[in-house]
Amino acid sequence: MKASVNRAGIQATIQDFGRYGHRDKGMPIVGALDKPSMMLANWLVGNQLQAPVLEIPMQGISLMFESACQLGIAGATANVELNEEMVNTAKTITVNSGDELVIGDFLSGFRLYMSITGGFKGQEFLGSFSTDLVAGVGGLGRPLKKDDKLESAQPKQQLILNREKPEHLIQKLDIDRPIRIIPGPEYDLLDHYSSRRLTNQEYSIGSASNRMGIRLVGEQSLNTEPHEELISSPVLPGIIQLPPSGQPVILLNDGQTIGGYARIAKVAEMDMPYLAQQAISKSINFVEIDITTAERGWLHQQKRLKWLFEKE
Amino acid sequence: LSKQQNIQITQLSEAALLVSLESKINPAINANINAIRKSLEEAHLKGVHELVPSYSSLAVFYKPNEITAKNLIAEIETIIDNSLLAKEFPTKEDILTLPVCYTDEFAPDMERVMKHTGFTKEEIIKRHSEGEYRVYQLGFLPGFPFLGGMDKAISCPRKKIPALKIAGGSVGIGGAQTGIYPLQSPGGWNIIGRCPLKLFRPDNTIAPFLLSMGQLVRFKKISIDQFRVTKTSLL
Repeated sequence: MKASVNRAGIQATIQDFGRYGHRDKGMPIVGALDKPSMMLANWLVGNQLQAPVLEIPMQGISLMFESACQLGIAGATANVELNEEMVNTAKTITVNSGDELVIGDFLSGFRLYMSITGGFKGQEFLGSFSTDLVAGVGGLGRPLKKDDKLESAQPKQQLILNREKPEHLIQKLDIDRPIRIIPGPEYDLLDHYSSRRLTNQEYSIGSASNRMGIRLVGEQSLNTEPHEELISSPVLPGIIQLPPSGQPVILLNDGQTIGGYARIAKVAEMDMPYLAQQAISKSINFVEIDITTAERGWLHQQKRLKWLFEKE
Repeated sequence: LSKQQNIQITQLSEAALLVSLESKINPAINANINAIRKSLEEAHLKGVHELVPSYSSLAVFYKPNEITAKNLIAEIETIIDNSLLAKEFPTKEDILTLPVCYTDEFAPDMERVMKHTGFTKEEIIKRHSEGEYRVYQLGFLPGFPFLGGMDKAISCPRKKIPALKIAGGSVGIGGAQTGIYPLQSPGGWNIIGRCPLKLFRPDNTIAPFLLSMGQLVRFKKISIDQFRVTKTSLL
């Protein structure tokens, strides 16, 4: 399969499960932010669930295909047209040579995942095809741009599939619910009002948010009790840091591996895919849970996903 | 080790523990973090897949479906109890020499450091290039070393408004530490020179990083001509 990019969107990148094992050198894990959706896109075309996909944030892209292939689309929802005709994204999509695929504005969610039979071809770096935009390695080493040629890593056309997304594997993105958080190592540094404010006030997703982190904007800033200066210490995706501005930042997969701001909380692992689908300027709320609940919920979510994909 | 140090092990997330020593930037504490890291690495604990050290703490990433936090904490405590304080500092042969060119063109913030310290340029270069440094941690950018052990007299606070574009190889002073930008990036450290060696070599897929935590480093002042020769020889 070969396709050329007519419209590249904003910061669309090739991503797989991520680059693990080099955080001690300062290499972030990168990788798809909404893994269940990425897995679902791959499942639609019969790929391994961790095969490299395109992660397309914010707005659609368009591609002109130079050969026939099959695609899977999951995550954010959008009107998708093939040669100006609507296609059903609940199923495996088959395209022919000369077809133009146009992904329109998003209807719900913030990150759309597109798979191709055999996975997208890109540079492998330290065991992963994921794009690291800071280091300029993996995938295309940069975001997608107009006139790029996309290829399948396994060009030989395999079995033609006709799969349909099972209802229970589709993330419900049009329903608003609070995002669950657990206290972080420096949670106790928050003053009395601020620890309550974190869960009581509404936040919106700031416009400077990207794959490194989500900048939260709240009406009132959060403050810490007087404390000794913090020295930098390990952080990970989901950690909510509090910079001096008092407006928290949620670290995502491209973020730093160590950080010097107070780690006041962490988004529960099981809510990270949902968080990744929250669009810029959208309002969100947090609710606190304990670590045992977070742990159990995540293990359950993983088990369920594994079972569902194996069953299908 | 645990009897002599105030060691705390807490949960950082559903899948990571944090082993913390006294929260200080100090060579002995940092060497102990490295010693704990090495013992844990050698122990090949079930479910543990990544260790990330920093100044005075260490993140232990594990798979909660293979080991529970409680059991892992107990295992780590046993290992730490049986490991020794890091008494062996690397020998002198293990010191890596990094060439640095301090020419004006590569030192946009030299004047800021001069103003802050009251030293001449020559004095700052002398003190910076005569020190012996330790890689306390890597982070901020792939392969960026936070080097401790700088002469305190040439400390200079980070810039409040970070520079938008710092060239790859730039050597900077950030507070009481010095560091090297492996890639072009925005940043707040005071840039006083440039190293021609590549700290992050993405085309070397086997060993893309020049430095690792615990490495001892010294700087060697080089001229602009030597800088160019070194740079060319690396191509």
